[in-house]
Amino acid sequence: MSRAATTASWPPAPARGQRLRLTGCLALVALPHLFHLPPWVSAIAATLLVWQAQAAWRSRPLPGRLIRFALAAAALGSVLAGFGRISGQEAGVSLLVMLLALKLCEIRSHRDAMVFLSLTAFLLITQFLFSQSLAMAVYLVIGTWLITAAFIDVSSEIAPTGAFTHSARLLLQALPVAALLFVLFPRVPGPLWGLPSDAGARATTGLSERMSPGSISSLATSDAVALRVRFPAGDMPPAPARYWRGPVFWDFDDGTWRGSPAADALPAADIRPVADAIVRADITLEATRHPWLIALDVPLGTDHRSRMSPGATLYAEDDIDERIRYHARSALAYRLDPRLGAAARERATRLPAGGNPRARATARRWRTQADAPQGIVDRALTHFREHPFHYTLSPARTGRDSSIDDFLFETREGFCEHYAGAFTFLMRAAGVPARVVTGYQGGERALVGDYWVVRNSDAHAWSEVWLDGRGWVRVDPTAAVAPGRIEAGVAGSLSDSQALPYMARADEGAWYRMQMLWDGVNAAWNRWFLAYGPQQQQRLLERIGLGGLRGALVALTFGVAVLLGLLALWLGWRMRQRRAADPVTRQWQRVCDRLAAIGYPRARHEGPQAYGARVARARPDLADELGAIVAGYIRLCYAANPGSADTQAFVARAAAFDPRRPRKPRD
Amino acid sequence: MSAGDTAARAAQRDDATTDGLQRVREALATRVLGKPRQIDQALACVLAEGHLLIEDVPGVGKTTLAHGLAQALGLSFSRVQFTSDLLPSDILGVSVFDRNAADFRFTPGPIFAQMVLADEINRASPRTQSALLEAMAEGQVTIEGRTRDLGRPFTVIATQNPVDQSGTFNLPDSQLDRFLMRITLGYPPLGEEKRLLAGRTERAEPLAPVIDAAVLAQWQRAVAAVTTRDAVLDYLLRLLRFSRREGVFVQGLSPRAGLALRRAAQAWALLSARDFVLPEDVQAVLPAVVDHRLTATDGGDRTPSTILLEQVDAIAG
Repeated sequence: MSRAATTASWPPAPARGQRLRLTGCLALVALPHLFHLPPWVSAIAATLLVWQAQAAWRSRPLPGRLIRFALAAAALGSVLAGFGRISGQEAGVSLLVMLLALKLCEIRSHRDAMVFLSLTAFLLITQFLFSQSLAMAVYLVIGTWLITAAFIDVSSEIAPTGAFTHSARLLLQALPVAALLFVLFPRVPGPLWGLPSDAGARATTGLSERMSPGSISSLATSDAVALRVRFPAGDMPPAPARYWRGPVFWDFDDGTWRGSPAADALPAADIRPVADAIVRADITLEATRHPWLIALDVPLGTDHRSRMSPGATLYAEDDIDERIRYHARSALAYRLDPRLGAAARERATRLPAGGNPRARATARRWRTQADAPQGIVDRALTHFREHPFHYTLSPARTGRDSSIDDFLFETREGFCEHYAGAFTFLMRAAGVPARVVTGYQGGERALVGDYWVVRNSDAHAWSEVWLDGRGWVRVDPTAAVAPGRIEAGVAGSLSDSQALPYMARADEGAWYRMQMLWDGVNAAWNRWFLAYGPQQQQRLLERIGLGGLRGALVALTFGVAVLLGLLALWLGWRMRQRRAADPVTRQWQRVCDRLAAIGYPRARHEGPQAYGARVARARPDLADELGAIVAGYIRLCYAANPGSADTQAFVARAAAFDPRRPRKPRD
Repeated sequence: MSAGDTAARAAQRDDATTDGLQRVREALATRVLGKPRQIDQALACVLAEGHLLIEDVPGVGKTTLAHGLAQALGLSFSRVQFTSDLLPSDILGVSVFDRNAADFRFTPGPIFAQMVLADEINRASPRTQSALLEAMAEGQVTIEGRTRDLGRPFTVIATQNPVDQSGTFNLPDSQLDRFLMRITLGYPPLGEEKRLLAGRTERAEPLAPVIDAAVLAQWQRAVAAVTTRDAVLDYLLRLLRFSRREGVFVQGLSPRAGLALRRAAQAWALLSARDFVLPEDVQAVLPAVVDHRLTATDGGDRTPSTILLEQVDAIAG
């Protein structure tokens, strides 16, 4: 009888090449995460990956169970200690990255590798929780390609180069189905990728709920896109009219302007647009984590569900946690609140009890000199124009309690929030109802594509005063100091442009053009892919003449998707069936399964004879029965000309085999 | 009736083969002590019509095994001690001028035997080595333009000192592939060595032949007739494909190696008194057949055959 040389330790580590490839696959998928996860997580994950790669390179044996358990516990503990939880976006992804790096320690079988790769694919998807940019999408496609290739690599004997080609072919084949599902699959409203638990935790740039000196000039150094606008009919209004209305601040205290929730008690703004001054714009707003919807001043309404605030700002029902698209109507000529209620007038003239005495005194003096509120406004603007005020991104510091006084009479350096804040203060001190409006001013035409880009660096603050008979009137004191700010953007009015972001500078180098080009590509990506929601789906279907069928179509798609899933399941099941369709193989597998269940699984290298002999040695009570089964199987599979009687005998014997059944002890 | 008759006769012949093999084994066991596995491997190699390379330090019984094998199988035997100045003609033979006949007469070299022991093959120059290896591959030699058949059976048993010994020319990989098997003997187990020491000091009697060349040829035909079903062929294929995967071995197994593996497994099955091959037969000959043809890339302790054994499923499913 033959003796199989099976002295090697079992189970072994996977082949070195495969181990390296799996490690590389994970490293590639985890790479973008390492940049945005907390540094300590990235450091641990990177260390684990390097360790795994080194172990694979040197073909070191896999660590023992105790070490693996300790490492996994340490990973869990560190995430708990660092985040205080193990769920949620960052904590969850951190844990996943670390545990996957550890999972490499225990990949022994084909099944382990499949589980590992499935989890790696899941990790790949989590990238979308952090970024949905086009570049990330491209990266994810490459990642999907590699993971598919890895799946092929661990599942077959095809050489890795073959796996890459094969994987690419599979992805290309899946493309039409994916495209169809993308277009037709029922769209859910709301963010698909935002996890509510972490939604507020991420640092956001953009307008905020308050305004204090420095809050907007800090935005001016960010060239991130705030919104993109298309004008379906007509074009962008001329530069002086490009005011994008954001949150309005009624209350001043402690050097800070706020739009307190109490403002909600006031009635909604009463807007009377001039008929031929209405502009329509399709706006794509980046996530702000705030509820307001930016629109040209003054907004009339949007197709997004929203309400009008007392300050004539549009508010959505929830915070904007993902990029949205909406259609907004605005009136460039209007009358805003022709009649001012008593409560609103009181709010719009209220000042803190003390502080800034010089400003108050000046305002009182102007009031006595002027015969009408308009005169006070003009007087204040003249003050800004005639005194040596500087428009700068880096103004001298002012005291907190005397910020207005310091700015008006001492430093005379400031950005738009200084001017708007001081002007509004002066108006209130002079008894003229006034408030601060924040938003954006300006915008530039995209190099490619018919749309306009408004960046964070375009953030602006101005004032509104209420004049009898005219309602709220926009007054931009910054324009009095730096008229170029309104005409040519921030760069046109600052002498020290070194602090400005590249995109906000005036010169148009090749790099600038490239950036604009990239922005165009990104805008298309946002417009056609990311912002594709239920409304866009409806619109698209209407355009191709299937609008009325949306419900039916969506149901059909859903049905087909479910059907495809069932088909895949059925095919898999049938393949299993076919593989074991041969009753001999099926019964043999059954015997192996039953022996595995009592603790004697067949090692992959064991032939039937060696396996049977091993189990018989360990369980002499099974020896006779098992010996007959193994002999039958060997005869059927390996010997020449087995008869059908042999098959029947084997099948009957194997089917009756139950190692759990108690047996008489052997004599 | 006649079908049953044939079957009965076949069974009888099988019994005779099994008995014969057993007697050859026993005879050899009296010469090479405590090495039943190596005896089986060498026997399988001869049965598979392959050539055998025995690699070990001097003095562990390489020559004894080769000599014993020739005697027990009743084969004509010749021995060539390879040295660095050995010439191809020393092996193949030369034509010398016969004064009486006034013509050249061919004097056959030691290669013209049924079993040739090429002792310390790696001491000879590559040119001489290749003369022998050509003969092994072709089963014939061409001397002075005339091709001469070496007859059958024809088996070369080469012995080789471990490669790190001085004054040796290592066999190149392409030539190693011509040996069906490479085996090592190793030192005898304790008890057997004591028996060896206690034994008589004078040279042992030659072994009485158990069979003759005709029976061996019959056995070799029986080996070729051993059934190899798809289940085993698929296993062989899996082994070959795995050996060719990138990054596992420097170079994968050749189709010739695959044929060698199959034939060796058939021989092993016959030695195991079976007329069909089991995966276990393949595994039994795997180290001897593949270890000298493969080099693992990771340079670890595991032999190529161990890696193959561990990584390739013996039963599909």
